[in-house]
Amino acid sequence: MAFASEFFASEFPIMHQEKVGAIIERLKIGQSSPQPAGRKSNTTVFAFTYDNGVVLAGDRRMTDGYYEIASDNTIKVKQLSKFSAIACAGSCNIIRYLEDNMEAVCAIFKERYQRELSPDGQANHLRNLMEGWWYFYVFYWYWSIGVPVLATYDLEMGQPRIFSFAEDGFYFEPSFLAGTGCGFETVRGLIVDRWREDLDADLAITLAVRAMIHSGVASHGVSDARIVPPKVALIDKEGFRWVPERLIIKKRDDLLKEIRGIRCLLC
Amino acid sequence: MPVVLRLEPSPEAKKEAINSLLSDRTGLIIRGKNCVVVAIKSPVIVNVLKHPGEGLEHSSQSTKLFIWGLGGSVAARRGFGIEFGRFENELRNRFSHRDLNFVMLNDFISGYLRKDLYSRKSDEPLALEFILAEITLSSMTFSIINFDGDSRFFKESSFTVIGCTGDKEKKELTESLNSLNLGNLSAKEISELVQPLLEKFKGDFFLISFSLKSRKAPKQKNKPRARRQ
Repeated sequence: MAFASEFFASEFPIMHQEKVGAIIERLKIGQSSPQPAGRKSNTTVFAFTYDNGVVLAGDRRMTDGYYEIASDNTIKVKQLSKFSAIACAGSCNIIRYLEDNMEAVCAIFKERYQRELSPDGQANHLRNLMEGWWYFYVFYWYWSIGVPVLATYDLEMGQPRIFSFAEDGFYFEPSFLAGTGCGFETVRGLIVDRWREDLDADLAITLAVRAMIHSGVASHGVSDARIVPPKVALIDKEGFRWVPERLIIKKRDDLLKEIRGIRCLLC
Repeated sequence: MPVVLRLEPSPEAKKEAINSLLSDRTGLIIRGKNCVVVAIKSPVIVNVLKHPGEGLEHSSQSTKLFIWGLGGSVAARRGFGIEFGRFENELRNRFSHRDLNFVMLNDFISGYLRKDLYSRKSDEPLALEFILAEITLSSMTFSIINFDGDSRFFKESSFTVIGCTGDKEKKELTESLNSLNLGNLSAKEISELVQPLLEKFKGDFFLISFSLKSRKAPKQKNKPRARRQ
């Protein structure tokens, strides 16, 4: 092995080779057609930019198979570093693997070099992690793997940045909005319709909560925001911070008075 | 086919060979008045090997990283160049070129030298040594890495010497530099004083200076008050 490879392998050990091998063995991929048992988060997660930051929101539902609700208390937005966070849809064990590995790499980098791993570096490392799971995408469905959205604030560039990933690890940087999960498609148009470049943080939170309300009534795989408030976080030049739950509940209640169609849907 | 047996030189013999090779070449980092001067006299200078900072398309901070190598044979220099290319490639594959930084570079080079010094099955000693610099708008950081892989940061002292491993030469050079009051001199004055001191060392002369601009705003004169009538 060349010294350069040895150097990076010793500085940033990655465990995915072993783990992927173990899963191939366990599921006997290519030998039969077993059903992958495991919890999946059907999910709505999305991130969009506002005037000087990025808002990241996620619902709370984790499902077992197609119809069984395992939990309505899951937190799908995970802080990685002071200026970045990730939110994923898909199979929970792979999501956990992606989150843990990303968090560890960001922490190791910060500790060794006294500076944050750059947003481009984080996106590229995430791509590397996801490439190990591409065969799940071929053999099963996209929800069998983890599909993330990475939201960051780039201090050097002085602007928020979002990275959207495909199932095979390919990523690109959309201009203002990225999301994933079964509920995202139902609210994509709503966010695009209401988004403006000069949204302030308060309006951005309102839009995120509004989208979560719509997504919750459109898909059984997404927690109903009327019952369980979604998780919303902001990342700007001050860093990552959660939006307090009481503020989300207040905004949700105000919006529910306004959105009359939802009440009619249930009649 | 005849079998040729080669005896690998012992680590001690290698070190001795390296010492004799490095005794007639040297590198200096000197702190002057609001400036730092890097001077190298060596037959082989890995001349400003990379300016990775220039590749930062999105960087708002103008950080520049410099690497200078001295000593070593052509083969050792090429070997390092190839490994450095692999390092850059690996970094881009894993993270991003934006993540290249001083400490990482320092760790990589010292690891490379440490590993290569004892594992290379060659009679030719790897007598490469390095000076690293990170220059930003408001700060300058320097370090030296010797052939053994030991790195030393250049902080408050007025000068530091790399290469020049012979006791006599090193003592003479250090004494000469000590007798000059380098801390109060400008870059131009330092370069004029240092050049004759390095004449007895072999190779080409290379000198570069960095200066920190004073951040004090020029005093503005108060506007004369309008006279009251």
